[in-house]
Amino acid sequence: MANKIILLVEDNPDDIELTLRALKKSKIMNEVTVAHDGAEALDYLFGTGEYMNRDLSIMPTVILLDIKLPKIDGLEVLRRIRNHPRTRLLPVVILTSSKEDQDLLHGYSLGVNSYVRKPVDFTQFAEAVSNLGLYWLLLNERAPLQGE
Amino acid sequence: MYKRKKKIGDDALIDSIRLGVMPPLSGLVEIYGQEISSAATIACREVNESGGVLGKPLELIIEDDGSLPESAVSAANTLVEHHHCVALVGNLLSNSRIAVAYRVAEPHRIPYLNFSFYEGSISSRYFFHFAALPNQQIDKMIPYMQKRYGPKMFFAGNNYEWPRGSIDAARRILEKSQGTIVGEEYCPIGIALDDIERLLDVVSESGADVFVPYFAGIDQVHLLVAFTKRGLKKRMAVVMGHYDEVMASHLSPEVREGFYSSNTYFMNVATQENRRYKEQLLAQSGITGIWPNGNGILTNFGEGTYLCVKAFAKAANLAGSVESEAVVNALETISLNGPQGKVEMDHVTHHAKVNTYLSRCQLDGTFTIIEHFGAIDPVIPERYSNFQMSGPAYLDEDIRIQARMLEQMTEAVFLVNANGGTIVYTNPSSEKMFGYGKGELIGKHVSTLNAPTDKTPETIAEEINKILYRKGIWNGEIQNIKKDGTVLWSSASISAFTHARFGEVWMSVYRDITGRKAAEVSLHDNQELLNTILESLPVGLWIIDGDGKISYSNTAARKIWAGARYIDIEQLGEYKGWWINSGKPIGPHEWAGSRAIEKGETSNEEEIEIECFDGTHKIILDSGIPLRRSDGSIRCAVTINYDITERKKIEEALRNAFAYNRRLIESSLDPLATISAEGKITDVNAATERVTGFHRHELIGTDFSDYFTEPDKARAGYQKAFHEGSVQDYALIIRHKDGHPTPVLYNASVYTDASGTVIGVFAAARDMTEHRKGEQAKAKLAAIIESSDDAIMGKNLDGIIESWNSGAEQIYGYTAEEIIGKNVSLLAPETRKEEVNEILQKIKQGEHVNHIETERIRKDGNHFAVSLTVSPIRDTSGNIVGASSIARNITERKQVDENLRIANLYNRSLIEVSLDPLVTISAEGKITDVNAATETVTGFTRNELIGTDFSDYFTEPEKARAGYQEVFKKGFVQDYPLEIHHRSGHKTPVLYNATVYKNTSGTVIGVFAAARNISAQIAAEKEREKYFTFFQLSTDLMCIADPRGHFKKVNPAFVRSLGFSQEELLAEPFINFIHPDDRETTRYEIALQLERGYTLNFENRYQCKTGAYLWLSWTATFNYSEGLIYATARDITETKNSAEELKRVNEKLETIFSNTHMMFALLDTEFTFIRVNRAYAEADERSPDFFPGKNHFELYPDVENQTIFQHVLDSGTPYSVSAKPFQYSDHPERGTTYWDWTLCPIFGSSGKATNLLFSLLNVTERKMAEKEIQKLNEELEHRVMERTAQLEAANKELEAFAYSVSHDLRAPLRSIDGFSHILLEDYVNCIDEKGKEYLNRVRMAAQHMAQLIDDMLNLSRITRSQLTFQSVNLSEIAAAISKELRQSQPERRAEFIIQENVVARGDPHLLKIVMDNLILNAWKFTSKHDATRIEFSTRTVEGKTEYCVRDNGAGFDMTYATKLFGAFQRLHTTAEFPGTGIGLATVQRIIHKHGGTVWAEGSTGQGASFYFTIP
Repeated sequence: MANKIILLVEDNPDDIELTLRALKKSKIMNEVTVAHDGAEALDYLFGTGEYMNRDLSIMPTVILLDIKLPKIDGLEVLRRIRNHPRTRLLPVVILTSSKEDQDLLHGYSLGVNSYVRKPVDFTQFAEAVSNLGLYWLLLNERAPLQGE
Repeated sequence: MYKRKKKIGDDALIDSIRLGVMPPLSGLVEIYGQEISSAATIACREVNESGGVLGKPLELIIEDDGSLPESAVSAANTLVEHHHCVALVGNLLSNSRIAVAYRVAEPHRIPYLNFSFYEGSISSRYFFHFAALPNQQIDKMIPYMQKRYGPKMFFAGNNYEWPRGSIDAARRILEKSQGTIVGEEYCPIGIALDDIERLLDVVSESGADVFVPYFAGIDQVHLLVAFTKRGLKKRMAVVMGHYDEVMASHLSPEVREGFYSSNTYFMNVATQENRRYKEQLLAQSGITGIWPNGNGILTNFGEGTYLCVKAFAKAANLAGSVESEAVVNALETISLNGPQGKVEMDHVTHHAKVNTYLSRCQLDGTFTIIEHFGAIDPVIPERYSNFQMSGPAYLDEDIRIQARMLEQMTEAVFLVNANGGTIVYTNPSSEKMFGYGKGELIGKHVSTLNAPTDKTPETIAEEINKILYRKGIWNGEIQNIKKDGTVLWSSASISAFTHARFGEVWMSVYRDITGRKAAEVSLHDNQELLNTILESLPVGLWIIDGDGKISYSNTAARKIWAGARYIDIEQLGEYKGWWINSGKPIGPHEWAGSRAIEKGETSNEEEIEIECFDGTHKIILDSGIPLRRSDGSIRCAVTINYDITERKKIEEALRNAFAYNRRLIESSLDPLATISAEGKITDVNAATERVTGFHRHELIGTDFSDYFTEPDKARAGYQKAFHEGSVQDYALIIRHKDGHPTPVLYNASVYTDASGTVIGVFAAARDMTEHRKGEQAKAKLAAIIESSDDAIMGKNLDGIIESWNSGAEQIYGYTAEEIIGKNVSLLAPETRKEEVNEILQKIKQGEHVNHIETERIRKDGNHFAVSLTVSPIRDTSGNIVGASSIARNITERKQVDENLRIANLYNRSLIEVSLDPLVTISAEGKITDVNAATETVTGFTRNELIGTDFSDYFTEPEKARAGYQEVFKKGFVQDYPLEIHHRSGHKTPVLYNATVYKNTSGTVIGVFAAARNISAQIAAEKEREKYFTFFQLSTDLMCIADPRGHFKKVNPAFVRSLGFSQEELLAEPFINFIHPDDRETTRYEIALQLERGYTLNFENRYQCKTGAYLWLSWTATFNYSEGLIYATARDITETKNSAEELKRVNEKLETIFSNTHMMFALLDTEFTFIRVNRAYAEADERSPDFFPGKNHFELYPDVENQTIFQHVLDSGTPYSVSAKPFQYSDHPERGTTYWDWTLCPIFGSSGKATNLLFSLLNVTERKMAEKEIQKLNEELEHRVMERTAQLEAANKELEAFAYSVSHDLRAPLRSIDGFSHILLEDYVNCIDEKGKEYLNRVRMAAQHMAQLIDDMLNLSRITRSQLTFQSVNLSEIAAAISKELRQSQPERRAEFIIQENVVARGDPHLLKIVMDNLILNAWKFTSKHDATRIEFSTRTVEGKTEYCVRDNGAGFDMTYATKLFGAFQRLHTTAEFPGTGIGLATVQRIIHKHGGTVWAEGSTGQGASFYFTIP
């Protein structure tokens, strides 16, 4: 479980804090990499920008992706992930405040694996994040990594 | 529709048994209505008097059946549904009866008792008949009549059920008893009187012994009247089944008497019950007596009604119940006594055994009973007996035979389980038709066969079951689907029955009508196309259907008529029209359309004038064409109207213009001619004929120059015209055939062909003869003036001298140079200056000053006497501008007068030497003196003569005496003709002039008479008269006048024309007869005449005795030797007047032609312009003179237009077009212009088109305006699009807002909640209880706000969502919700009452939200109650369905009812009942979005009801 990384793409520091706390509370000790906007998330995934020298053989086990993001929005990030052979099979979970039909439709049509709305009640929120972590990190079998 | 409602019985309020009665109180058979009502009332009273029904009073509810099926059904429904009547009594007419039996009585299972004889077609468990069937009326009557009157019978009747059924029965009986049918005729209801006569023609010739007419109501009345009028009563007997007292009361005694009738009842029936009934009837209010002594009548209808009411009461009492089935069972065996005698119900047929009476009508309208045939069993006619008692549970007997039949049928047959809807049987045809294999469909649901529909299979099954239950059979067209998915249209018929093997089933029989449906669709498309064509046709089009009703008009037709009325031929008078050639109004049957329908006549373009519905008049071409069916009968007619009003106006104007032009040319007094380039004459007018003496045909083709005294000059003239284009005032002298010369001035101009080549000259000559003569006369006059010894001067009105002749120079001593410009008063002495002014004043007033003797002064200062004549001078327009005066020096004459006076002294000797016989006569008539000449002429000496009677010496002594007596009376006589008698007998004609002479005291003492011997003169006159016999005979006016101004003689034509006698004409100066305006010119003309010796063509006006003036044209000569004027006049009044008239009309026409904005061009058959009007020329920026002679298509080449022009010319039909575009080829800068044009051929006398009138109107502006409008429309559309785009943008913004709310507002809430939570968890020891409570409150608030945001978003989502309409089963939704709620809180005691199958049409998702909200609301607000009751139901208010969710919960104060539906409005605290207050706002929004309304009712603690509607 040690090499299973969670990529959290989230710009709101409160939400980052709350998410990390929720993961911790549910005893998920995996490494969580936080990208604060869409561009950073893509840099991380494709080894560009400040992640130029990152080892690309290490890919997150699940990406928790907010939709409303600075620079490049979450749906665009998702589109690029799905368009690239290296990342196209990565499990992506949209974790957002919105439950607008258009976002749901857009997300699923771009091939998101799961869509979770952040509850306002922290108890519920913590439960949701915990469930996500358990499911994607423990229960789910990821696809084999696609080599270069 | 007239309807009457009446309640009978005083105790309407107490519990009563209600019986519905339906008499015809209005409509076709309303004459029986009152009688039926009375009978029911009397029967009801009898029932109540003997204890009522089951101890309760019987109450009648009477509803008018309106004599029509629809109104009867509506009345019956009202009686059953509204008044809760337990049984019905009705109806008179067959179609109403059938409708009520099957549409009301059977579905409601209500006993229906009938009172009217009929054909026998109704078979139903609930139907009971208490009157006659055909066999009961006819079986006995026919043999009786045959035995009594003979075997030959003629049957006739209206063409519907009852007459058909009755005649069928009669015919069968007659055939059975060896009688002969000599005729059988059926006519439509409402038969025309003409057709009655035709029918009676046939009846009358048939040799019938008995005539049996079966017509309804008024048709029968008309028939009987016509029958009687023809005297047919004497030749045959008449028997009927429906002739009664009411019908007799509508006929005159001589008509009604003697006809036979067979029926169940007549008023003379001798039964106890009948007598009692008549007594009760008489006691009724409004009854004046028993027929024929009053209006109290009972016929078989009323009697039947009486029986029905009594039978119902008896049956109910027997059954001990008013429940339908019990009453029906009792009625099946009912029997009772009525006025007709005993009546028994036949339980098999439900028709009663009734009595039959044959009766004969008497003069007084009563019916004598001839025979009582006793009670006769009912027999249902064969034609109806097949339908007997068919119903469920009947068909299952010969099931095997039926099964074999089903196998054979070509139609698809399915048997379907009535409960589950599964197919249990299919025949081979069905498998083939639907494309399934054998048995493949068995077990499948029947909806497999149906095309997809909104309705669920269950709903369809339910609907079909309902219909089958009501009607037994369902027929209709269904869209099916085959196995391969293709659509199959079929005509289906579904009936229900119990099958021996399958139990309750539907049998569906399908016939493939896919082909027909396709044809229908294609037909519909074609009709649409046809409609579009008809509507866009530029001609008015009407369609009149086969009955003569106008059924259609297209747009153009309505435009022409300013509307349309869709009426029958008889009312065609509303369309007003007149035949154009006779002016007679067009009758309804004379229109082309009427004739097409009535006679099949095709009429073509009849020209008529119409008055449109807005009152305007138009001229149209009206055509009518009949359209026939394949059998040749007329289906409809098409009428075509073509508005030619404008064309007619233009044609008329042109025809007039052209006719006037030609007439003007012809009547022009100027000789006109056209000359070819070779100098040959090509055409001339009548004036040319006159001036040359040659005929037109002689002139045409000859050399123009031949007719002039100087041919070379003439040639030079027209060559000059050819060369220069025109010549003006070219002087020539035309030589008449007889040599007479006519000086003329020629104006000539060339005319050219289309290419501009000169092809000829048009030459107009002006006859200068008169002008020349006038010029000569003027010159002569000037010479006379100049050479006159009299002083002649002209002066203006101020007295300034302007002309001065040599006579004046001599008399006054001034030269012209000296005096001209000076005032005339210079010539008058001081004492006469005033006189000069007076004269000028008179002149100014138009008076003349004649021969006044006055004094003037010469230059040298000497005074002299003058005789002065002054006349006014007028300018050409008749204004006085000056005076001419003629002065003669009479100083010398005065001197002579003086000398004469002296010479008088020598009178006597002069008298003596006179050659004329002179005589003086005393007052007594005695001769007092004579001269020598008198002695000579009488042959007597002076002594012999003196003292004798003067009159003795004349052939007419009396006349002589009268003559000198006249002298005494008047003082003188002149030219008094007498004949002196010489003693030898010789006679001498003389003219006497005589005057009285007086003594110095003035007393008349005698007469001086001088005779002039006129023998020689008379001889000469006689001689002359020989030459002038024609004078008497001439039709011209002739006269002889002296130059002093008196007629000497006028001819009879003169007398005739003016109406004055010869004496009257001779008595006054002729100038007095002349029109005052013509007197001056006449005087001048006479002066000229005296000068030159003749007058030619002088025209003036003479007054007739009637006061009218005649225009006379004079020719006269002056005979110097005789001093007499011989003058001939021709009456030219008419010519003058018509010329004036013509001139005026033509001027008017010319004015119109020139000033109208409409452009006109007149073209010849080569399309060369003859002339154009100003508007036409201006449109091309040219002068009108430019066009004549040029070719239209040389100027405006256009092949297409030329073809049109040629077509108009060839066909003779006008052409017009609206807004035709045109481009000037030589003026491209003008762009495209648009023109309305009309091109009309103008027909010459030969009937061929000789000219074309081309009229144009520039409609470019209008067209531009249209384009402008189109542009504006486009702009508008654009703006709408922009607005839509803005709205879309706003919508987008709204969505963006919603999005950011959903995302951005929630995030901070999460932080608030999250960190509060963390505080509570991580810092639990640092925070006291109060702090923890506060943090919990913070969390609660954050969560509540999140809920508010979500609700708000939901609400906005509803606003934005699109509706999809479907049938939604609200009951199912309610049930599902209730199930969920129960499961959510199983501990609650809750009761849900949900009405089944409440279906609404709306958006399923949104309606689900509505139901959710309402039921959750109810659930929430009942949570504090021990027992929750939530109800979902509907109710119908004013035809609309209202849905309702009701609870028994907390309720609310109605004061706040309106606030309930506001967003975030709450009536309870969150602590009491949780929630955000958005639920009802959402409900309202959804219902409003569906177009419905929602409201709430309730009160605090009493629960709440929420109602909503969905249209």
